[in-house]
This record gives sequence, C-alpha cells and structure tokens, in this order.
Amino acid sequence: MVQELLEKNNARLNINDNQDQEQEITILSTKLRQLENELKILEQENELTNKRFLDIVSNLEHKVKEKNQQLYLSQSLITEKNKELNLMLNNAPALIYYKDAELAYIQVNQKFLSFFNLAPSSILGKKNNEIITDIDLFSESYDIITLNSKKPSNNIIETFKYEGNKYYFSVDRIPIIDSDNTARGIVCFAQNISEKISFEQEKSKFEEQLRQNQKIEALGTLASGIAHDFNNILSAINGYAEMAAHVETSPENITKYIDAILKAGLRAKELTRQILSFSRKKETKFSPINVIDIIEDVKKLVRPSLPSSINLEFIKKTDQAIIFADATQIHQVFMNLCTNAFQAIKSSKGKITIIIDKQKLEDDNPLQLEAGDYQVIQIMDDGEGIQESKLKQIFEPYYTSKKCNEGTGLGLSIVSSIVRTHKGEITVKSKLGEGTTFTTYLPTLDSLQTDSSEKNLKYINGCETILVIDDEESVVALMDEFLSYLGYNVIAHSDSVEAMNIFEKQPDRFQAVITDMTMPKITGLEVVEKVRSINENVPIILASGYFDTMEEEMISGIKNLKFIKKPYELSSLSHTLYDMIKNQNVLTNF
Amino acid sequence: MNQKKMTFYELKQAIHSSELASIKTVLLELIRLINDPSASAKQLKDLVEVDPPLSSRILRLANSAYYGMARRITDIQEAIIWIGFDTVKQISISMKALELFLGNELDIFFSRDKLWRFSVASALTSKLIYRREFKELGNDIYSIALLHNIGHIMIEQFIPDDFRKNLMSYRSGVKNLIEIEQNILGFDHAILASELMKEWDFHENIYLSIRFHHQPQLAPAHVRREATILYIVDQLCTRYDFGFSDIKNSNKFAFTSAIDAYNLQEIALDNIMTTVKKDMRKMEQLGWF
Repeated sequence: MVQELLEKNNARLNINDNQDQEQEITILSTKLRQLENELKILEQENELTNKRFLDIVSNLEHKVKEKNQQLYLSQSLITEKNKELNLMLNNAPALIYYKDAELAYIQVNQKFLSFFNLAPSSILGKKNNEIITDIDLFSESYDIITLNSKKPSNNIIETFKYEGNKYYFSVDRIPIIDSDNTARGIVCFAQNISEKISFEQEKSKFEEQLRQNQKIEALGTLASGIAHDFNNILSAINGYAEMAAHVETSPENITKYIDAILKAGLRAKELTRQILSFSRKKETKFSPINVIDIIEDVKKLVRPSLPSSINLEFIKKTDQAIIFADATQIHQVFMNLCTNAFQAIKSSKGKITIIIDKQKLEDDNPLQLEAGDYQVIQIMDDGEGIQESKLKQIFEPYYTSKKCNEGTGLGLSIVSSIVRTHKGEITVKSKLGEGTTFTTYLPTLDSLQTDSSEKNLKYINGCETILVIDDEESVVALMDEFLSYLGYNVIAHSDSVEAMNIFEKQPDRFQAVITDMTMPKITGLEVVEKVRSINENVPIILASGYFDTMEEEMISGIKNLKFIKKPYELSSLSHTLYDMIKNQNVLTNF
Repeated sequence: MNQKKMTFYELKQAIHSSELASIKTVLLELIRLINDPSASAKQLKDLVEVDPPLSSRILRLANSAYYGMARRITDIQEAIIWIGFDTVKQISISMKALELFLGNELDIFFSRDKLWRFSVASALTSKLIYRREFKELGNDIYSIALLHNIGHIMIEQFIPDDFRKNLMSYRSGVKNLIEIEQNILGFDHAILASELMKEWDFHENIYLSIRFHHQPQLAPAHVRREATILYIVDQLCTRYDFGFSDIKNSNKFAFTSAIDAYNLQEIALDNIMTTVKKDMRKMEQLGWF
C-alpha cells in the first residue's frame, strides 16, 4: 500500500523535477512512514484491546454462571429456611395461626390443626364462620380489636368446654404492620394453660398446708417453754388457793390470795390468747398493725422456752411501726426467725437481739423494693453462723441445717414468701463463729392514716384541774361531764366574768383553760388576754365555729395556745388537752 | 531568610518526610500498571478510587467537553468503559504526577505550572517518537518524561533561596541550569531526583535515565536510549516554547549527534512536534494546565 502511494507521488512529481519537489517528497514519505508506524502500534493496541474484550466477555459468562449458582443456592436456602420455620411452628408449645386483614387463615401450625381436629384444606383461606368444628375457634372479635388498634394484645384468656373438659388458653395476638402503617394481618399464639391453672390451684392449697404445718412445728418447739410457764402459773394458783383453803388467816389476807389467783388466771388467759393467735388458721386478712406489738407478743411467747442464760433483747429505735399486714402471718415470721436464732446458738450461753428501726428507700435500691418508708427489723444471734456458700440457699424450700427430727426445712422459705406478699424483703448476713443477722423490710403504712386511726380509737385520761368557759349552758354541762369522766377536775362556767374572777383569785389552781370565742361581756380573746396577763404559760384552748384572719393573726403569736374548730370531737379535744398539759409539764420540770 | 546551608543528605531526609514522598506510592503503582499489558481495568479502578483527589481530577477530565459524553460519568469504572482503558491510564498517571507540581508561584519566570506544562509536552513528544520512529508503545518513556524534572521542584521547595539564586544566574547567563547547580550546590536536579527515586524503589530504567538526561553520552548502555530521547525532547520542547525549560538550546552539535545516533531526522521530529502542538492545545482546552 505504501509502495503504491509512493509511486503515485513520484509519478505526480516527475513533472517538475527540482529541489523543492524532492524536499516535499521527503516530508511526505516521513509522514507516511510515521503514519505506518502509528498504524502498527494501533494494531497492536487494538489486538490487546480485543484480547481484553474477549477476557471481559468470558469473564462475564463466568460471572453469569456464578450468579446462577448463587441464585440456586439462595433458593435452596429459602427452602431450607421454610423447612426450619415449619419445624419451629409445628413444634412450638402453642397453637399458632396467621390471618390476613380479611381474617382469613393464611397459615396454621400442626398443633392448631390437631387441637381443633381440622385438615389444612378445611381452614386455609377461610374465615371462622366458614369452618365447621366441634370446638369454637379463637375469638374473631379480639382479632378485629388487634387489627384496628395495631397494637399487640397479650394474655387474653379464652376458655372452651369440650366433652366435659375445660380448656384455658393464654392468647397473644400480634398485628403485622406494613411500612405504610396499615395492618396486613395478624399472628396469634395461643398457649394451653389448662394444666398450669389446675397446678396453680393445687400449689396454693399445698402452700397453705405448709404454713399450717410450720406453725405446728414451731408450737412443738415452744411447747416445753409454754408448759414451764403454765406450771409456774398453776403453782401460783394452786399455792394461793391451798393457802386460802387451809391456812387460818385474816379475811384481808384471803382477799390478797384471791387477788393473786386472779392475776395468775389473767396471765394464763393472756398466754392462751397469744398461742391461739399464733396457731389459729384463718383467711389472710390485712389491717393496720403495729409491728412492735407483734414482736412484744413473740418475745413473750419465746422467752419461756429459752434457757435463762440466753439473753433476749428488744431494742426499739422507733415508736411508730404501723404496717398494713396480716397479723398472724407477721407473727409467724418473727416466731420463726426467733426460734431459728435460738437454735443457732448451740451452747447454753448466748444473746438474741431484735432491733426495729425506720429506713427510707430510694428508687433503684439494691433490694429492688418500691421507694418509700420501711420498718427494718433485725434479728441477730451470736450463734455458730452459716457458711457463705449456703447463704443463698437458705430461703429455698427443703433447705435445712437441722437434724432430721428438728424441722422440715420449710421455715425460711415460708418466711420469705410471707414477707414478699407484704411487699417487703428479707436478707441475711452471717459469719461463721460470729452469728447471723436476718433483716426484714416491711413497708410502713402512711403515717397520717395511722395517726388519725389511733387517735380516733380512744380518749386520753388526765387528772389536772381545768377551767371551762362557754356561754352555752349545754356545752358547759357536756364538758363538765366528759372531762370529769376522763379524770380531770373541772370548774365550768357559762358566765365569763364569773369565770375570770375565779381564775384571778386562784390562778395556780388551774393547769389548763378551755374557752369559747364568741361570748357576751368578756369575749374569748379578752379571756386569753386576761389569763396571759396573770399566767404566761398556762395552756389555753380557744374554741370557735369560725376564725377570721384577723383573729388568727392576733392569736398566732401567743404561746401555749391552740384553737379547735367547733363542733369538735371529744377525742381530739382530749388529745389536744393531754398534749398541751404534757408539754407544759416537761417545760416546768426543766 | 538566613538559612543554614543544608547538606545533600539533610535535603534528601527533608524530602523523604515531606508531602512529595507521600505521592510516590500511588505513582509507583500507576507506573507499574501502565507498563503491564496484563493489568486489568479493575486494578486501575481499585488503585485510583482510594485516592479521592486523584479520582475527582480524572472524573473532571472524563466529563469535559472533549470526550462529549451524553451522560455524566460518575465513577472510574464508567470512565474506563466510555473513554478507554489506555486513555484513563495515561490520565491517571499524569494527574497523579501533577500533584508534585502543585504549589505557590515562586517567580514570574519560573512556576511549577510552567514546569508541569513542559513536562507534559516532553511526555507527549517522547511517546510519539517511540511510537512513530521505534514502533513501540511508549508508555514507559511517557512516565519517565513526565517526572524527569521533579528535581527542580525539590530544590525549589526545600532550598528556595539557592533555587532563586540559581534561577537568576541562569536567566542572565548562557549556561544551562544544571551547570549552575553543580557549581553552586555541588549536585544537580537530575542527581537529586534520581537518588530519591532510587530510594523510593522506582525502576532502575526510570531513575537512571533521569539521572543522565543532561549527559546521555555518560548513561549506562541499557538506559542510554531513554536518556538520549529525554535530552532530544528537552531541546525540542525548548525550541517550541512549552513552559519552563532549564536549557539554553545552544549546543547544535551535541543535538545533531544525539539524533543521528538513533537515526532520527529533523524533518521527522518536526512532523511529530506538529502533532504535539495540536495535542497541547487540545489538552489546554481540556483543562490540563
């Protein structure tokens, strides 16, 4: 090709054969040569590119094969996963169904089919009312509620009766929500809890039985001590009765003997009451009770059964210990803990200390109790202690360190379950050779409630002399009678002038003044002024149907003065009066 | 600035721990790829994609009006498919080498930009000589020519006062810059670049041909052709005024004997330079400079 072109050129240039032409030829031939070379290189490059292209194509073929392989693999993986899912569905301990938004069954598991005795073909794609079964299917109305609310519904119990058997199901329904927030269907898990329910019923009966047994067991332990106590009482009764019957003595002495016999009888009665209150089997009944009273009772019951070389001490760091509880059960808790403490002291000498105190628990406390005020009762012994490895087990049923005939090993598990039903907690600390401390936390009943309940219960007696002033004759009469009944010495007047005269003559005779506010002649406020001008400290109670702010301001600065609003309750008057006189006495004694 | 005189060793150490040295890893790998006919497009893509400034420069070129792509090219893979593997290879190595030439203007007479333009022209010229005269692909000589003057960048950056002094006597005198460097510094830009490239594990052919590009007659036999072509190309690009040149274009005899040694005719070289001029204009439009 090149040769051809050169010849053509030469032919053309032959016409003017000169220097210029030769030069031009050289240039052209150089260009031609360079073009030829470039062409060769391009051919080379082209070849390379072709080769690369073929590589790419064959690589692509390979890749397609690979992708197909992968596709096949993922398909078989899906099949495999489906198998797994079915395995799980069919072996899950529940009846499972899956419905679409129209409430037609899409899928059910084997357990579902066998429970309702259905074939897949007779249920899939159908709604409840299109399916014929012996037992009613799970309620469609709950399905609708779940679909509409788009929220799972949990633990709805559905029951069926079939051929004399009653079935209980705990049913969970979960809506299937699409990304556009429409409910596409519903999955439902129904768990047959019939056995569990009958088991629970059995279990609570059994637990009740256990508690009773444990009481009897504790009574056995205490029997010797109680017998000893009764013997003492009986000795007293018999002794004094004998003396009254056989010894010649004065009638005064006989009265004394009979008194002693009566006292012993009362003590026996008290002892019997305590034993009965402990052993009586009754339904759980919660009421406000004072833990301190319970512990005092327990102490009285336990004390006689302890050797005198064992010291039993009760330290009260609080006097308000009202909890909302079942008295018998709480009694049982402390009986048990005290008995345990005694049994832990193997030697004849030792010490059991009971401490009661208050504690405020914050949120997230280590005991995981609700935040609030708690009564904390510690029962400490200086016995042999418990190994650390065994501490965790001691609240478990049937755990015991005692020998075969000493106990059943159920005591502490019952104690712990009682404390927990009272929303409390019990913990234990122990060191080998040093002793064990059981700490019981019980929630304090709201203090306000107890205050009023306690005060409403009774009146408080007194023996002081009180001046009562009220223009209403009937009030004067009532106060006279009521306060006298409580033991006070009452001077009551309906005339305030007269009353003031009496006070002026013998100011030190009166330990308190109760006056009405609105009176003719001298008003309540004037009475207060007059009394204070004579005696700075004598307690004054001002009673009125209403107080306006000015009056309130006038009396607010006066010490040892309280007002009560009419009509007042006699009990609250008795408390106010008692408190004021008591405070005044404390002050004057100082 | 009153600078403490740096020894040659200290200068090399300073360059080793500088930005310049950090460019070398990708550069070496690109040179290896460009010369390896079995290298795959994926290798190039993987290499370029981990260098975001480089890939963004390549994509900017690929999306320029010259290639007239109807659709926007958003990754290297697409650039290779639509523009071609070889073109992207050449763009990649040039754009990586460009990073060596980025920097502030030092002098009106000299700028890194001007030196960069000269280097690209040298690379194009030498590649065309290889293809049109030696019937070879010329990828190897393209990268060598692109980098043959980086010694100037090193001197300019690390001993700027000396560089400015050298430049002044080069402008006002008749001597080539390399002779001034040898007189004043005791070494020259070719030695410095060659030494560092050797330490950076560049191929022997590369650093040796750069070492002797001003004295090709001294080059070892196996790189003498490369060194000579660099020498010739320097003369040609100076004559055609492509950016900053470090020679005075005066030794007619040495030039003639160099082209004679490889059977190159002036007329053939002139023809090649016509193509280079055209290509340079095109590249200018593409935004290479």
